Amino acid sequence: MSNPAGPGADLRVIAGGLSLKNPVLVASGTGGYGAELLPLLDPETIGGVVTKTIFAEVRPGNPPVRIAETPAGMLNSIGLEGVGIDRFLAEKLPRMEGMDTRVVVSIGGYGPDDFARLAERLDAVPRCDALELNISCPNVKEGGLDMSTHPRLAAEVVRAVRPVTRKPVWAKLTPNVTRISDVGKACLDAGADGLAAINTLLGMAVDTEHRRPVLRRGVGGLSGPAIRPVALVKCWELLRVLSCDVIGIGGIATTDDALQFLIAGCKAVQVGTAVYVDPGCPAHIAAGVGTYLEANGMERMEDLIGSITVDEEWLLGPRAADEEGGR
Amino acid sequence: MTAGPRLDSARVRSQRETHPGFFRLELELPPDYPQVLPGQYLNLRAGTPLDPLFRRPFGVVEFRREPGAAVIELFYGVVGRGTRAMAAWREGDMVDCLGPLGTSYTLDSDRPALLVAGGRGAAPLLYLYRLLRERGHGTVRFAFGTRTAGLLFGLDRIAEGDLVIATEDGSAGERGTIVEALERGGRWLEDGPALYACGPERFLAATAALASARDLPCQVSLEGVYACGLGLCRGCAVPLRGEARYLMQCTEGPVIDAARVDWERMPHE
Repeated sequence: MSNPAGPGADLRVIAGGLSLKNPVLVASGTGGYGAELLPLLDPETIGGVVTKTIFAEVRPGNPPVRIAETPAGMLNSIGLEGVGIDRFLAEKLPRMEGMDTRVVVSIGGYGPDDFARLAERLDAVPRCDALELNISCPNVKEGGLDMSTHPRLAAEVVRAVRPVTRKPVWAKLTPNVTRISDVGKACLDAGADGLAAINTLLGMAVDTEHRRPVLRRGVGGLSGPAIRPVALVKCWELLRVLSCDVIGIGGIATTDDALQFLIAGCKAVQVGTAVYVDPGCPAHIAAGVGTYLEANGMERMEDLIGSITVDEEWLLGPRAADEEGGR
Repeated sequence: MTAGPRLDSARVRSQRETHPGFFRLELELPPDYPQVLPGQYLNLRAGTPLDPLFRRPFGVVEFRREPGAAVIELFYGVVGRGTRAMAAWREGDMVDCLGPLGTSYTLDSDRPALLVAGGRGAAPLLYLYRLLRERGHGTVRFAFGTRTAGLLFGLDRIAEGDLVIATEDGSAGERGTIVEALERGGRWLEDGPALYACGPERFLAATAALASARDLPCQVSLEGVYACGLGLCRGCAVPLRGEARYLMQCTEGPVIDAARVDWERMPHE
C-alpha cells in the first residue's frame, strides 16, 4: 500500500494481523459503511474504515430519543440499526471497491452461531479485509448483546468464528467490566488476532423538566472525548497484562489523543464520535502522526508504538504478564 | 439541486440581539457557496472543540449572493450551552460551518401557500415567503405564532395583508396558539392551501392534525439537534406511519410530509 505521508515518515503498521497504510481508522457506527464519508473524508487518506455493525437481518433500531449530548461526549442507544448482510453486500460494500484503504467489517449477532454464519459468508468477500466482532454493544434488548462482559461468552463467539475465516479477527471489548484483560485473554486464547477497545461506557441522563430518562431506552453508551482517559487505561491494562495487539478506541479527536494510545502501545487507533462533529479529523490525525514522527526523528511506526517510559517502581495498575506468574 | 455538504469557515458579518436572548446573525461564506434552499440548514460548531460537542443546526432566514461572498442570515434564541456560546460571537469571528444539509420545502404550485410558523420556526419560512413572492406564486399567507409579542421577528418582510399573528399571552394579534387562530378564522383554510410549517414538535403535530382533518397537504420542518447532520450516527430517528423503519431527520428531513410522520410515536419534548 502507498505511503500517504510521502517520502517522510513511514506510517505503515500491522495491527491485529491486518496491514494498514497508517494507524488511523474510522470506528464502527460513525462512518456508515465507508463511502458515506465522501466527500468530507476521503477513506484513502486513512488506514481503514470499520463499518457499522452488520447483522444477518435488517434492524430498524431503537425508537427515539436515541442520542443525548453530555459534557464533552454523547450517549447513544441507536440499537444497531442496519441494512442487514444482503443489502450490505449488494449495495454498500461495492462502493468501497477500488479504494486504497482497508475495510474492516463489524459483525453482530445474538449468539456464536450468528457470528459464525456472517464470518463464513464474508470470508469469501475479497473487499472485506478483516472482521471486528461487536460482542459489546450495550443497546440491544434481545438477550443482551454484551457478551464481552463475560470471558466465557466472549470466547465462545471468537471460537465459533475462528475456524470459518482466514481474515484477521478483532474482538471489540466493553469497558463495563472490572478486569478487561480477563475477557481479552479469553478472546486471544480463542484465536482473536487483535483486541479493539473500548466500546461505549454505560451511561444515563435524566430530563429534569419531564422527570424521565432522556433516552427512550433509559440507558445508553457514552462516547466522545469524555471517555478518553478510561479508554486509555483499559487499553493500557490489555497491553500490560497480555502483550497483544490492541486497537485503541475511545474519545480520540486530535493527533495528541491518538499519539497517547500509540505511545502506550496500541498498534492502531479508531476515531469515532469526533467524526460526527468533524468528519475530516481522521485524515488530519493521520497526517499529524506523520508530522510527529518526523519532528521526533522517528522513521517508522515501530519507533513510536509502545515508546512510553514508566517508573516500574512506582507504577500503579496492571502488571505485565510474566510478573503475574504465567497468566 | 444543491451540491453535497461541505465544510467552510464562515465569517461573522454581524450579530444583533433583537430581543433578550434572541439573536440575528449574519454569516459570510465563499461566493461559490451552494444555494441553500428554504428548510435546509447549516450545522455550526458553537463552542470549544470538545464542549459542547455537537454542532447546532439552523435553518436559514435569508440567502443572497453579494460581490465576494454568499451571505446567510440566521435567527436563534439562547436555549442552552451551544447558543449561549454563539451569543458571544462578534463581527470578524470565524465559525466552522457544515452545510448545506437536509431537505427543503417542495413547492405545490397549484395551491395557495399557507406558511405556519411557531416561534423561532419562522426562520426558514421567511426565506420561503420571499422566494414564493418573487416567483409570483398566487396566494401566499404567513401565520405566525409565538409566546409573546417580543419574540415575533422579520415581520417587516411580510406584506400586511399576508400576515396573521397569534400570541399565547395576547400581547399581539389574536390570543392563543396560531393553530387555534387558523381553526377559528377558517378563512385561510377554505381555498385549499398547501401548508408549510416549522416550529416545535407539539406545534407541528397540531398543524399536521389541522391539515389532516381538512385533507390539506402539509410539509413540516422538524426541529432537532444532530450529532452529525450527515446520516452517520442514526440518532435522529423519526417514526413513520405504518413503517418499521425510521426516517433520519438530518438527511431525509428536516422537511418531510406531515402525513408520513407517526406523531403518536414521536418523543414530544
